Amino acid sequence: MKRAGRLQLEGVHKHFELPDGRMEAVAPVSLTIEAGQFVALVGPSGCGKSTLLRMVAGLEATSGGQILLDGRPVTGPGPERVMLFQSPALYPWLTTLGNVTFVLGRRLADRAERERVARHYLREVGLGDFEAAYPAQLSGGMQQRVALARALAFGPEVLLMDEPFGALDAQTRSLMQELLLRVWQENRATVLFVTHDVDEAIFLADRVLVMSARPGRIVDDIPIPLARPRRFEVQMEPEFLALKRRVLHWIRQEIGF
Amino acid sequence: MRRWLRLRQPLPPHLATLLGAVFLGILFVAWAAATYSGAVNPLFLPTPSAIIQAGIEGIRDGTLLADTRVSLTRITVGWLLSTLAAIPIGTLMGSYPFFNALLEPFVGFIRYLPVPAFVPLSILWFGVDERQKLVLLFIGTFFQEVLMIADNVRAVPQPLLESSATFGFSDREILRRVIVPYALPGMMDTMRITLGWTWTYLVLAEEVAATRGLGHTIMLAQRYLAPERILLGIFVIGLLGMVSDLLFQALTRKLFPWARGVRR
Repeated sequence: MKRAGRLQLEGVHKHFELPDGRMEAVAPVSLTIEAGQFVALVGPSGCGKSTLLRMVAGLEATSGGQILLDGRPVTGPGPERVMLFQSPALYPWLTTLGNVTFVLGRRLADRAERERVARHYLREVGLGDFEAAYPAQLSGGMQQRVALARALAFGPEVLLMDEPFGALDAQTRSLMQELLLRVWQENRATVLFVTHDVDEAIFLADRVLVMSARPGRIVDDIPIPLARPRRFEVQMEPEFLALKRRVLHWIRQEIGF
Repeated sequence: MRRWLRLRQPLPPHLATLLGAVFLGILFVAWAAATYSGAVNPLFLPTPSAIIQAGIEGIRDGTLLADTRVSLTRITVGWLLSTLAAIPIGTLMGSYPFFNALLEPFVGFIRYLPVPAFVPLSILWFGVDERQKLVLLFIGTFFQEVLMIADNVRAVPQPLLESSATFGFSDREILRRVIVPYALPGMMDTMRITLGWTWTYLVLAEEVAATRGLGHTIMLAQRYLAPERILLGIFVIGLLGMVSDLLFQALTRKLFPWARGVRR
């Protein structure tokens, strides 16, 4: 069976009408992301990368162009495209386990099966012992891990991530990256990962897309041939640094230094 | 002393209780000193024992309890009517800009009208029966409450709604299964605060065209120049209001233990 999750963007663009005229946020973008590919989108802040991601999620209307998932046009949010935000967006009245089973209710009718799947992913993110805790009792990093477990347990074809580790401290962030790769390795969803952290983008992705300053367009499309599974030490190797130099070249140019 | 006066530094709990008691104690001593010494005309401010005496008489002849029961019923019914209307309407206003645009100008206008201005109208429309009193309590409470409920609903973080949408929940499911549960503790706070406002309008509703109730007693006492009964009425209202507030707080803590530290 051919796996699902192939994303196609055809001339997708976005502008906002402001009191003093029209603001171009995203210039026409065309690209194809194969099913199971991990793609990172980097660019200077305010370049429209989050807007592009939100259009793919169906949370933001496009001003023109077309987004196709496995050939079907995207018209609104849908369960085959789950989004992870910078804030964990947990349901505060539900326990850790409840947060995962709550969304699984739409996929699995059997309650015992929901709890089994939820527990599996909570263990995967290292929160097996915290299934009865409420979000307010967890640290920010732990909350984000619950959000990650929830999205992975749901098992969407496409995982859209909007700087999901942006609010975490450097150590937690590095651990979360490794964790994400390890869990992604087994379920291989298509991932579109927005970040402004170049190291993060290269470390995680099969392919890094570099966006220009506003109005954002894709100025470079860089394959990342680093072998998987990747460990965090790869970030010190010459191959990694060469890729980093190429990405940074663009970003510095776009910021205008 | 210095270490108790730091910005937002919590006090030891027994000290906090003590402080509140000390202030009330000082007020009481000052009041007692001013009245028992004869420095203040008892017509302006009666002695504590005169008020206690009035209370005992009121209990003995049954009027105090009867009036309290009447007032409590009015408060409960008026506040319940307001709350039952404010929760669904406020939820719609806070969730759909459509309903907010439709209703906000109207609510915003009424909200600024002084409730006493509605007394003559309410008598014209409903006569002097029970409905007229409930209408006044409703007007005083609802138009504030509905906006506060709408704000409770707006406090639900946007990513929570968007995240739920990407998990495939429909708008109606998000409203019922995400927005409402998240906003409930905030709504409880609103209900507690607006119940206090209903109490403040009680006297107004019972001052005119009433034959029973604590507010009516206060008006009657004014006519008969019995300041100890005015103060007795005020104390009973204050006490009942305070008790209902504490009960509400305890109920919220019990029902929503998860809400501690969650923005609402």
